Amino acid sequence: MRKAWNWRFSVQKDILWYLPITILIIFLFIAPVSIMLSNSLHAFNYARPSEIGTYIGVQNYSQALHSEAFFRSIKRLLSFFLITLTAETILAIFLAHILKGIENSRPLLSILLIPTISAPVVVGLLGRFMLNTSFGIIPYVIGLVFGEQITILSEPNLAFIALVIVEIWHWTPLLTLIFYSGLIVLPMDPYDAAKVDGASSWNVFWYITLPMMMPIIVAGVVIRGIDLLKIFDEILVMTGGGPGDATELLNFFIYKLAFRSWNVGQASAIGVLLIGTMLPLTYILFKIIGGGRGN
Amino acid sequence: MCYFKDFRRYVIILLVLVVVFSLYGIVFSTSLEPEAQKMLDAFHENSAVSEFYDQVKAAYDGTTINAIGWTGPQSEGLRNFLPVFTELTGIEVNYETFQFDLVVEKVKMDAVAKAGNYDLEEIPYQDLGWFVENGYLLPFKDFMENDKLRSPILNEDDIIWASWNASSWYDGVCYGHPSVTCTMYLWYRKDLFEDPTEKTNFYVKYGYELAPPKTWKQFREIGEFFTREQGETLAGKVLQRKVYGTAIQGGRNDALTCEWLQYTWSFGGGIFEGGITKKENLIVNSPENVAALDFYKSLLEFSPPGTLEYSYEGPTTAFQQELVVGLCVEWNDQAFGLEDPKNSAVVGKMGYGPVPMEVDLTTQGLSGVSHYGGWTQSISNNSKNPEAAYLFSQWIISPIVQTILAQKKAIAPVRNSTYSVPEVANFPPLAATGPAMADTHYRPRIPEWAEMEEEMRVALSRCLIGELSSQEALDWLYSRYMEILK
Amino acid sequence: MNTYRHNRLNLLKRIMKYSIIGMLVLIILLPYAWLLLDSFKERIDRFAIPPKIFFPPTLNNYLYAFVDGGFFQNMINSLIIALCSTAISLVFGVPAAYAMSVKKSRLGTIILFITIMTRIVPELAIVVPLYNYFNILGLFGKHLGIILAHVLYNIAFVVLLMKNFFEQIPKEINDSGLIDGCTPLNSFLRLSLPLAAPGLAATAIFCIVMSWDEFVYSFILSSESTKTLPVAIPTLITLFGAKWGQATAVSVATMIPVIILAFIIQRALIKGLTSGAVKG
Repeated sequence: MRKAWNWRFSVQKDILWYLPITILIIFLFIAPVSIMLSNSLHAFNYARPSEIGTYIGVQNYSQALHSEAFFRSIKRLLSFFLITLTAETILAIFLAHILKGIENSRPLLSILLIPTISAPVVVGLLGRFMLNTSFGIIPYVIGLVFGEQITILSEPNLAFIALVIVEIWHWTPLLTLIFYSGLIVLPMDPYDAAKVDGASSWNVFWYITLPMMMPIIVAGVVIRGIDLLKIFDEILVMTGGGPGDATELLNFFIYKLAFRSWNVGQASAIGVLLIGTMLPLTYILFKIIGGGRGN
Repeated sequence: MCYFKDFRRYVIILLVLVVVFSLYGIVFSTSLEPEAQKMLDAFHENSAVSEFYDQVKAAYDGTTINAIGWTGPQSEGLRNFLPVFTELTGIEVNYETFQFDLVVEKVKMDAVAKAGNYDLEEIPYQDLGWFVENGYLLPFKDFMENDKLRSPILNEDDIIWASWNASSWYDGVCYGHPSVTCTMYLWYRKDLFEDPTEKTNFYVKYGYELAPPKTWKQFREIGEFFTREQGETLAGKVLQRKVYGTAIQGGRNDALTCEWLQYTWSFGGGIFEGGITKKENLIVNSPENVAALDFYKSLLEFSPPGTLEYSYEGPTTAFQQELVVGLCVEWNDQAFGLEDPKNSAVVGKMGYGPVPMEVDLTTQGLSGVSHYGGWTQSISNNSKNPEAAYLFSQWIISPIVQTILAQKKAIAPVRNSTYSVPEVANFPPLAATGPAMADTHYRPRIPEWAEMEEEMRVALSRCLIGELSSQEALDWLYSRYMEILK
Repeated sequence: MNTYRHNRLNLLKRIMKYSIIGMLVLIILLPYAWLLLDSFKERIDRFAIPPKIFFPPTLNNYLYAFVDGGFFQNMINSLIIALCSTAISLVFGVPAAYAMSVKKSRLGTIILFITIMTRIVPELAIVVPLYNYFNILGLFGKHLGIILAHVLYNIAFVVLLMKNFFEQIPKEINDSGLIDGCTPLNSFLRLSLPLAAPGLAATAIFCIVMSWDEFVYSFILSSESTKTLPVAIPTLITLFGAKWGQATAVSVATMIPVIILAFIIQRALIKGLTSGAVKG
């Protein structure tokens, strides 16, 4: 009888439990993505009304791949990604350690979370508001300290750096939280052993903490990395892609293509390319999460 | 388990707050305000008009339409009087407004999806071709000729033809009504130009009278003249901080392309030769254009530090706060802000005049060079209530509404007659609009323009920040345009 | 002598530690303090150079924004959409997460992979077909359209987080239910779900916050009457000058509910993440 139970158990699980989410996925995800795929293979450029709907195969893709602006935005996205992610990770590990050394960390954690749970639009507004040359407080303070009036949002490099800093400010708390929760559950034995051996704190960190934290560091980095590649809201509100095209990262480029130039076909093509490129990341995340029970 | 109790408590508090706010919001429902009542009375004064709206109300009472427009004084002014329209016709209007880029996006999205979510749409005139050639707009002819829909005071001849033609007519067919008559002209500090000390100093330095510039060389010299460090004097007063002679709308946005085109045209340049929008006629990297861009860039020297972040309102705020005390080229509806006592320190001190020319275009029969920038109110071809939408647009451009809005300094009216109304004729920004509209230049209205404009923004911005030279930027733009155009 | 040196070192470390924390708190809170301050300023005070810290405060910005500008309607919209989308996400996602946590099956693996993909897809690429699609179904400008889009946005989180929480429940508890004769459904409802309640609460709060903050889908799929707060903010940056006063007031209003939630969330979230980390 136990066998019969288990068998029924497994069949029921497979279908009924997954049914709601399957419907949801098909309806809300598979359908639009298929439409997007189809769009990418047809001409959907509203600047050329007579051609709309014609099948053009991979022309959208080849046009995108030949577009200089496309590669510039990718290049920018990659450098943004590397700089921000590295900085955030290092900062978060550091902060997690600091937090660990505090007894009642709860109020601090609440405060720490505030930037992360702020709407990206609000964060972008804050950035624009505080970095504004005319009345922003940051250029003013910098002017006082260095004696020179500088403009941040009108300089391409400074605007880019400003975006990086804003993003770090926005999301490091989340990484810190993830790393912190990983840090506080590490077993104490290796540390006791190290203390007995008289190891320096740097060595303790490098040879004990870091390897043990690796899984959670990787998880945090991947989660954060995926979201980082999709950055958009802050750019829209804070810089509008400018000055020049200094803050025009890939997502913003897609937005421009789809909603300003109305070349929906090409935008879909780039979207498809993006999904394809991010599949490896998906796979990594999947391996981490889908590790199952008792890793 | 005690965890849940906490949670519940917070939820209850939140719900209570929501309920309280809801009640607060309901309490603030309005009855017709006194000004709106006055407008309503004006409509009822004319018996023919009154009768017209009575029969309209009988036919359309209870309809609701969705209108979308761009956020500006004209939309905010209009919003206050929407109840009047509802009183007259029984039609409810859901009026959405967004800033420039966003509203264009929403309207185009709606069109592309054939959604019909908006009935009356405000579209910038340069996008007219995009809409018409994709088949998204309904022609106005049938509405205007329909006796049941035609207001006795419609009087099409009174509508400023230059405005209407550019905004709403395409290939000889009318697709809408103009919503505002925006044009660029010269702004200058009239009070400082008339100050004796300044006049003397200027004459000594440059050798001619200080007056609104006729050429760009004069423009630049005046800009240089009024750029002063902290501690120097201006009209007898010692300056507490550095001031600048001019400002440009240098941010990466629509204002930049508009402003630069104004400069280009007055340098004798342009995008298409002779206005013929074909690939072969592209002159976007002509010597005149390069000269215009070089000159435009050179003005950075006399512009405040934030000038590369400025959009349309950048120079406005700068003048309001007397950060810029010289002159610049700007829009007529932006000038409303300068005459607003609440925000501006220069009320009554500004003068408005014609844009300087590099090349004497009077030889070509033009009296000046202004940049027209209006919008059209058009009806989506997926609209479910096109007649009601037409009635709304017709109401907006009725003489009564135009006059009242112009008197409230909310709009640059689209009717010739409104400009003769005393308050309007005495309001400098509007008084200067008439002459500026005599000879205006327009951006290309072809479907490809949206993409072309976006590329132009990038090219100009990159040139201004020094990444590319003028020639390089325009050459790049030329090659992009060759790809974009068929 | 060793202890003396040791104490000195400790003291130094503690000073450093607390000063770093102090700086951290300052860096985090200052921008918000400035935002809050600005929301009470009249326009003249805002543009004053040097920037003012003391000024006559005014409630006008809030009044204009919420009474005249109708932003309070936006707040209600945000609330409705956040609550409904969270509820739907949970209802659809939790069963799947439970099933994935209990037993590895091929279907489960596929669903998990695709669910993760929904997180990877950039919203902008998918929003155009979604818009088209929702229009055909008549969902434009209705709360339901945005709610569904937010469900799409959140479902991955629900599945991942809840799967983690469910995996913490010892397998024996599930099995004991079965042995006692419960149907799998009952075992789930009566045993596993109550045990995972803190995790559920944390996930729910997470979803509410993410939905509250979401911009792209809300902007494209909303109309005037169903706009959410984040969508309302860029509309205040107009060609005629950003209405900074209203913008900061609305930003503050967008922030406050979220901050309240932050104080609730940190307890549950840490608990959830901590116990999850034990398993891997």
